Amino acid sequence: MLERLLREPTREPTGDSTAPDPSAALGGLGRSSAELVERFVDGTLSDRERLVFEKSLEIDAALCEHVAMQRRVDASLRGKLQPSDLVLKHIAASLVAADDALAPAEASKSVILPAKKKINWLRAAALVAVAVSGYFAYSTILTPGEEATKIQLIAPRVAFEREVGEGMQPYAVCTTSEEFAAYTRTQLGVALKVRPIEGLALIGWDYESVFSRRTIVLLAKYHDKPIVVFMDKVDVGPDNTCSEHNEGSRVLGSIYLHEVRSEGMPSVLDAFEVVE
Amino acid sequence: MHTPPLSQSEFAQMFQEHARALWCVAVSVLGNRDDAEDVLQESALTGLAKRQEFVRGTSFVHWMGQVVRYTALNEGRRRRIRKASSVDGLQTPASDGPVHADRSEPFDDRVVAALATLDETARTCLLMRTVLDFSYRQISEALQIAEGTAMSHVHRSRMRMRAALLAFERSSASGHGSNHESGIAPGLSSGLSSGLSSGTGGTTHA
Repeated sequence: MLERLLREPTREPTGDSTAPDPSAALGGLGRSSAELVERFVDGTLSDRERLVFEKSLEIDAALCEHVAMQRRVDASLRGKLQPSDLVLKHIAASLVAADDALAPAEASKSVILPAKKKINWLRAAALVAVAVSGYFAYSTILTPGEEATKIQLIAPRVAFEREVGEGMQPYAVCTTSEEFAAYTRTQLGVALKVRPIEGLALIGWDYESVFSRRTIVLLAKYHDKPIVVFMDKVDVGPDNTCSEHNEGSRVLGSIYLHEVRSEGMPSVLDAFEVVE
Repeated sequence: MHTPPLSQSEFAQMFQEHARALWCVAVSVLGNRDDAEDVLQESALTGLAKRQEFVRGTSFVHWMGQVVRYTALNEGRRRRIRKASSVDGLQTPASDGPVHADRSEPFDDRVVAALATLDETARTCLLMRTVLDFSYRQISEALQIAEGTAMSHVHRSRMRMRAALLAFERSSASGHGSNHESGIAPGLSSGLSSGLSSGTGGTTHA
């Protein structure tokens, strides 16, 4: 039956005909049969083809083996290599929050356009100087690789005020301690947990360019007053000294934690622990 | 033809729409989930800064895919250099030496190792098809290749992987064989699976 089906024209993929035929390694299963296995697993066989193929499966052990293996491989790839939608959302969200310095076209327009109205040489020279320095700043930002990371960082206190001003709205929320640990592990390479403290309520995660472009921000409230903890890898070189009265910091393994809290609140940094 | 550059929010929206395909490009180059996420973030900022080079009406995912690919290739090169100069790197067995498969290695890791033996485009096609459930048309648009070529890559990749893994299982059952016989490139599991095994915990999709 299968032989008859295989004699009929099937969708033969095109492509690099010079490459060695991998079906040679398929232990007796021909190339057309191999293709049928994939189409069967993919669910792209026609009803008639599928019926014939299923009949063949009942009597052909090798074919069964290939179908089972293809299903295992597909399931394994899906399980092992699924992108994290949370992380992808986070990256997209970070683009909206990215500094305006990364918008060179608009920035250069705002410098150059007024220059057209002026004929004063001194002013023109000053504008040229601005344009040249702008160009160098712009080209530095545009160079791929390491240079692209040179974005303007903001102080923790400024980021805190921005978060509070925006109503402490998180991009992502973890609902269990396991999710919390998985999130910090994905973001910073270390799984963390927060010991319960009376009055401390975690809101969720946000993103700010504080110590690096990847600083993650934990939004929380302590007795209804906002508290924000910035977390980053310790090797990004944050300044450990906290000049502000309502700020604190702590190094936990390879993670640097920096909190900014509302007036008169105690620190919550001791509540953070590494999950073993 | 001059078209107005994408605004920051337009870019962010398009990036979000195609983030999974772009992630796929990164993971195909690096073979590592965590590294792919890092590179995707870096590429996003590079793309944002270069967005005036994107021509409206052309394929965003293809244009951005090139940015991701080059960033990933650079990152991969940097990591290889760092690894070669580290003590761990020196302890890694030579890749052309005979390395016997660890028979206790989980099936998932063997799959990832077999995946690493494919060429980059084939790997991208396979992952887009299998993991992201992309149609051949979608793969064709994302990678700017013919649909038939995408189909061929997926077909050949699946055959290769299945053959390698079946050969490995058969040789394991008979107590003979090595990675070489199974078609799984020696030393690949260490590079690929190590990264993949980390960060696989369940994160909230909030």
